[in-house]
Amino acid sequence: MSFRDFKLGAKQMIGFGVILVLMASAFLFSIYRMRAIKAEIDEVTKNRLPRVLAIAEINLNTLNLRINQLEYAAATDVQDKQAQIAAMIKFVERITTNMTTYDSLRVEAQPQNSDMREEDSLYVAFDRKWENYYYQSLDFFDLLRNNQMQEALALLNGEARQTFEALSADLTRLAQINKEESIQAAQRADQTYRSTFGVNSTLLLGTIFISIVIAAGLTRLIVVPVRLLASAAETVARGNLTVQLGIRSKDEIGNLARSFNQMTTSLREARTRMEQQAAELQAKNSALQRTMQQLQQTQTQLVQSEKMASLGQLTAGVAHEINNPINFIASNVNPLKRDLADLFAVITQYDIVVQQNKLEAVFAEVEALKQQLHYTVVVDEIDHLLEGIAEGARRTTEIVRGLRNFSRLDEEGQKLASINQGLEATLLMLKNQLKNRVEVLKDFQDFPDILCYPGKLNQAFLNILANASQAITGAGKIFIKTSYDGEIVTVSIRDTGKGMSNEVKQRIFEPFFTTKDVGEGTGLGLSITYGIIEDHDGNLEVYSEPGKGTEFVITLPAKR
Amino acid sequence: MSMILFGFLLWAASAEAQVAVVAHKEVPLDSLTKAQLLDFYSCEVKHWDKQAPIVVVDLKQQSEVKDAFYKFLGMTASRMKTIWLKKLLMGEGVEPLVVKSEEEMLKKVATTPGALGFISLGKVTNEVKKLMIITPLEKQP
Repeated sequence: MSFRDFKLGAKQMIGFGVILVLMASAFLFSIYRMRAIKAEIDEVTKNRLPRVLAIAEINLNTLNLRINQLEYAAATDVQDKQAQIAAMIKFVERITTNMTTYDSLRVEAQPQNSDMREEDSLYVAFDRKWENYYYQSLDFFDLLRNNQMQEALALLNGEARQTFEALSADLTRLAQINKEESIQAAQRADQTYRSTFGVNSTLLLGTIFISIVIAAGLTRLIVVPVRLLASAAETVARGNLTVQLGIRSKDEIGNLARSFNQMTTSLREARTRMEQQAAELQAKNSALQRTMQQLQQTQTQLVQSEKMASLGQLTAGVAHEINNPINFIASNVNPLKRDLADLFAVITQYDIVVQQNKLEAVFAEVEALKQQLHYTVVVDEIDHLLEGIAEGARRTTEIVRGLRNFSRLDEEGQKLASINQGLEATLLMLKNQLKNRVEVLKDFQDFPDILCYPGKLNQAFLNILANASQAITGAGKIFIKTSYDGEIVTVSIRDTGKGMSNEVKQRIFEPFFTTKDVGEGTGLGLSITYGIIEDHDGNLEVYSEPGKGTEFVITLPAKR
Repeated sequence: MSMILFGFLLWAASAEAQVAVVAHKEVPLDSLTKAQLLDFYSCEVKHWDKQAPIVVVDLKQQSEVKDAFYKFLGMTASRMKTIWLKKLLMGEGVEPLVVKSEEEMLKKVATTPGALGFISLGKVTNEVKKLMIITPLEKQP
């Protein structure tokens, strides 16, 4: 059980206890020392000074008594003598009173030092001298009674005087000792006061210092861990859950720190679990999304295939139906041209004959009719008309051929087909959209037919080319390039259109994604295209930047 | 209390001997109290009874016995003398007898009617009446 195991309250109580003990000890010490000072003062005022007074009184009254003895001896009449005796009685009474006072004070006084010994021995000496003086006084009075005046005065001024002076010296010395003692006692009291003041000041300063130390200690005990906790909490708030507090004390702060550590640990575990669950959820979600995408693609392809199949059938039918009448026209135009030429030759011959035979007048009416009917113009016009018919027939034939090629959609299974021809057929389909606006620049390498679904490939080309055409606002160019390296066929279709952003580029193969207005595009075209290229085990890449056009690169394995 | 005893010990240089208060054979009392002894010695009471006067005998020489005796009375010898001097000056006719030695004291007490004195316990004889034994203060319990 060390200090840090205590509760905060206990720590505080210990701190205050220390301060309290210090203050109490200062207080008690003061009282103790004040008692010492009081004892000194009491000793002086109640004992020593009265003792000095008693000694002084004794000294004075012994002197008075001696003077009275002399005056008594000198007195002549009875009245005077009686007055002197009365005075002597008074002084002797005072001496007795003061001696009694001194004796009792002396008994009360406690022997404090060696001066006591001196005082006692002095008093004993005085006692004996005073006793002697008493006997000498008795002798003095005896001599007077016997009218031996001279002898009496001789005794008083000789032997008795010596005794008196000696005892007076003893008394003076006694008073002196007590005076010195009083001064010393006063000095001792003063010294005690000074030392008490010093000790108390030291204790007070010590108390203040220790109070500060304890206050600082308590602050450290509380504020520092709280600060640690606060910064740790902040760290946790920022998302760092690895924080652990190293506070080991067993007080409330320590409990708080431990709870905090438990909390971060639980939070960490919870977060890990949550992240795992989120990851699982995301994985499932993306799997679901993929599945849905495939489903949608499949559905779309199904719809498209169905649509294309019907379109193919229709196209085939239309092509067949148009072909026959066109054949009539195409095959009849040239013989008709020949026949008209023959007719014009006959008419020309007629003209020659008329001129040679001067049949102008006869044929003037015919000529007038020719003029009226703008004959020469008609002849030219017929030529032109025939040219036009021939051109129309030729073009129609071309369209029909294109339709036929395109209608190979409905053909079952893979076939050997020419990629270049497929591209040509698709361009034919788009001719109307492109003419006069978009220039198509072809760079076709010659290579053998490959095994593929020609109809589906054509559909793919159509989608890409249609998008390229739509990407070009106003005039522009489409570059189509094919190449073959013996294994892989590469088809590149590049336009000079508006291009697209990265965000758009990443989504163009998603079904139903479109940048076109509602109703203009289904958003299925490129997704179907992607599906078709995948069916051929090929690859479809797109390169595009806004404002710099778009390039689609199709790579197909050349199977036979 | 021991402090006061110590003080008295210093006061009277040494007082080991036991002291006996003795009187003439024919005094009417057989024992004394301390108060009686003090009254008799300070001449407050001057008669044993109606007639017989008390004759106080004092030792002039300083001795252990004298110290012990006056200490027991709570007096100094000189104070007792001052009291006597006052009585003398007041003409009360008091004049204690003074002897020079214990032997003389014994003889004086034995031969003077109404005499009251003190000697060492060991020196007491049948010639006097022993009224009181003073045990030196430091030997008292």
